Amino acid sequence: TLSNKTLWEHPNLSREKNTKEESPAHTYQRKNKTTLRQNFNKMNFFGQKEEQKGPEPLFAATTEMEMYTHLFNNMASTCFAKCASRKHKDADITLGEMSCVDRCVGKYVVAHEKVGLILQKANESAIAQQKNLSEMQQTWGQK
Amino acid sequence: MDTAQALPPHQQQQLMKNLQNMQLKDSLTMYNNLVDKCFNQCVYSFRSKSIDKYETSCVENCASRYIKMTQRVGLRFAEHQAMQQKRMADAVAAGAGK
Repeated sequence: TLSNKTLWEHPNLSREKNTKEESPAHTYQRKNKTTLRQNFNKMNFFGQKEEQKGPEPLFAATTEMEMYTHLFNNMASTCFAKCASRKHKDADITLGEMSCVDRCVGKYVVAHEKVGLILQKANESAIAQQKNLSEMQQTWGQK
Repeated sequence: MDTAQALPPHQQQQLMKNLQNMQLKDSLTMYNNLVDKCFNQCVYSFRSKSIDKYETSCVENCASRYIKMTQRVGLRFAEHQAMQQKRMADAVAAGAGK
């Protein structure tokens, strides 16, 4: 029960007190304060939030299919340019060209994986850098 | 390919439709690119108005060789994908078994 003291002087409502025994009013006030602050942080924390929704799954699957289509087209035209002779005297491909195509496909797939790894690392470092930057902005904003 | 399998069935149908549209567009694009490529490789003199026998046979051979090569590329690519999926499945099984 609140006495005639002001809110700030009331022992249960002072912020320095231990939080174990709290009156309901005190808890409500502290909770309110922290959520306000979290919302404020979420507004300043541009880009990545904690509850981040990824891209829609249908869009992701369609884009992945497109990626594989592009990969296949580029691989076919590159291996054709590198392996097939330009004379085109016959309608069939020779045995040498066939083995060249097999090796070309193998190397292309490996190169695809390696480049993917490098891009992934670069992406992660960029995200980490952005996070550091926004954390710095937060600490400067609080001062 | 995991994102395609994780979709609910209604969205998988939509994905199949999208894939068909993409394949249609892709086949037309491939047609134009093939004509461009074979023309650049085979036809290089404009002394006469009509295309001569040598250039015609060259273009036809170029087109059929490209198709055969694309088929072979598709075959090898599918093999590599299968190997990669097998490796990933083995890695997942090994990780789960520990």
